[in-house]
Amino acid sequence: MSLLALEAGWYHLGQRDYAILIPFGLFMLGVAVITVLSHRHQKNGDFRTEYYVANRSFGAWVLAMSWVATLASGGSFLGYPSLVYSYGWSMAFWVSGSTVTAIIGLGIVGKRINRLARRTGALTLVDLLRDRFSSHAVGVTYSGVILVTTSVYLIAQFVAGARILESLLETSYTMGLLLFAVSVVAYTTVGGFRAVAWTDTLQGIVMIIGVVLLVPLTLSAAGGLEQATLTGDRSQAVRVDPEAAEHGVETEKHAYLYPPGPLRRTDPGDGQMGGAFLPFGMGLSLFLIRSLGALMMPTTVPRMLAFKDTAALRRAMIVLAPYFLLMYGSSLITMNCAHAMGVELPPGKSDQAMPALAQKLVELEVAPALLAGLLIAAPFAAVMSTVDSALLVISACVVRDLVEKSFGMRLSDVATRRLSYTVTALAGTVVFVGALWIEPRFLQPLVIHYVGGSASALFWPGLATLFWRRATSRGVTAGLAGGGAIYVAAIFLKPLVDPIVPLHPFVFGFAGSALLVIAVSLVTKPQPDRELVPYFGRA
Amino acid sequence: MSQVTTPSDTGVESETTDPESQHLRQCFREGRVAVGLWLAGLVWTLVVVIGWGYVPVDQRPDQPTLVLGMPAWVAWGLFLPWLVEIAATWWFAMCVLQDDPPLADDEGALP
Repeated sequence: MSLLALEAGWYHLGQRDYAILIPFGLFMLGVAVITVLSHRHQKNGDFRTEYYVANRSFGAWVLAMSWVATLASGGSFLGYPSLVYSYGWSMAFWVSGSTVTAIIGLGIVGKRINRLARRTGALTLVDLLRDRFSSHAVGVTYSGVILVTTSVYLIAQFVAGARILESLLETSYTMGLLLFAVSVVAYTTVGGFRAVAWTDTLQGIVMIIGVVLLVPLTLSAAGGLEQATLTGDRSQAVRVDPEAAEHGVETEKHAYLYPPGPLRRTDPGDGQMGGAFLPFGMGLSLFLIRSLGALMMPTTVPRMLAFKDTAALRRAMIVLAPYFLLMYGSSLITMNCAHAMGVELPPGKSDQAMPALAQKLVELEVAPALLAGLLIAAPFAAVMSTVDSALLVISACVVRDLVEKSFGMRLSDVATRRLSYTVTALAGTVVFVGALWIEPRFLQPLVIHYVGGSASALFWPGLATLFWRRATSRGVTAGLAGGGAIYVAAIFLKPLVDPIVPLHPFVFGFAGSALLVIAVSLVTKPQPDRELVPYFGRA
Repeated sequence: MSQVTTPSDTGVESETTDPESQHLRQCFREGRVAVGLWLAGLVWTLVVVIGWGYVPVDQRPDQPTLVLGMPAWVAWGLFLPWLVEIAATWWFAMCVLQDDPPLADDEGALP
């Protein structure tokens, strides 16, 4: 913060505000140090292998923390808490699929991807797919899907990062967005995958310390969970829909304790889901998205190519298994206490519920200001760790998968380095502009669109490439393009489909992609056995 | 004197000693266990959520049943299976997930 800024009156920070900023600043300093150290690594060995998979050297902790920190985004630390703050316990079904995320996300494909990547020299999942089928069509289609879905995701994360800084520094959304964009894009561009993974590890640890500390402090401030639940149950009519409350619209009995949650009468498009936020079909869809979506998510899969051996994977699963419970369980408990503690946010600002709760704890003198800084750093760390990974995915997609492999341009190490830096910085700039234009009311639906959209298109083609000898390039391409197209079509047809089958568009895209991969593969010419030996052994 | 047969005589060499085939078979075994655990989690959650969560408004009790301060359906349908799945994941990691056969010396990165 410059002296000029202080004199200009941009900030009116007191002693307590500085105490909050100190741990936050230390966290950012840690990120900067890691970036510098990572950049030094790039001077040793092959730039591509170091920049994109950190020389396949990850141990258990880096794998576990970087995987979960990438998966847990602003959606987990701001978006989901915002929904719980607004809709209460009825939102518990929303995260039920996370009970099995660790075992599905790492247990099924982790070992397989890692071995094939080492065997074939693949640096990205697109490498694996394209090389197995020797098909540029597969590579280009896969890259296209990744670019579109990851860009949408990045916009949501930039918005989340900006909102945290907006709240923390009491500045404007635009200034928060600018500060966030500059810091994350800089360290991702300079540090590459190693910096991303190491900072993710730091961020993953900060995140879990933050949420674990938050639970006892919040319960203490709210007078216990039972009291908070009953207080919330009684005072909810004004939570989601103050306009409706003003017009005398009553909320159903215990609407915030049971799904499908309260009716939403003032949001556009409410009628699409029968007016309720989480009807059963939507809840079931979310179980599927949250449990299966992690399997082939573009931002988490690169970790599968980078761990050093099965022992690292095994220990990472042991570390990760309780992480999701701590993360989402904490959100459910703390956000259901927020109203009892007097955290009241205006409509459209509920995405700030988590940082507002941390600041409320300081106001109530339940937590020291220094601790609040750590609590605010946790969601910020979640956002940063996701953004850096997504930026790198885009960079790898453009430089490695499209320019070098699909378009066949042979680049020197220096040219690859320059192009990678440029693309990473450019992607950050484009998303920054997008986040200026789009400021969604709730982050979480946008995050779910990323997970659902990418899983619709990528899940079955990825799985077929790894495990099914009979899969063909045309089958996989059809699954990629068809799954994505069906997902988009299902979004637009939602008002027509919901009254008959109220499911998330993901379910249609997911099923359609599976059918296309299987059907088109079976009617097209199988791959010659000799091409399959590196992937499946001798038949 | 019984005749000694080698794997190559019987034609089963590829299935028994080929590291890639061994690796793939083990991945399938592990995958089946993981999918079984996923299915168990799905069934448990759906049974509890349908039975105790999606209660019609007119059938909801005046005094909601709370367990540890949270609605009962959340405790039994979310937190309990979550704890079970954590234990299952640890078991999977320690007992089911096997080390890979090493890549042979002649198997490096393909061109």
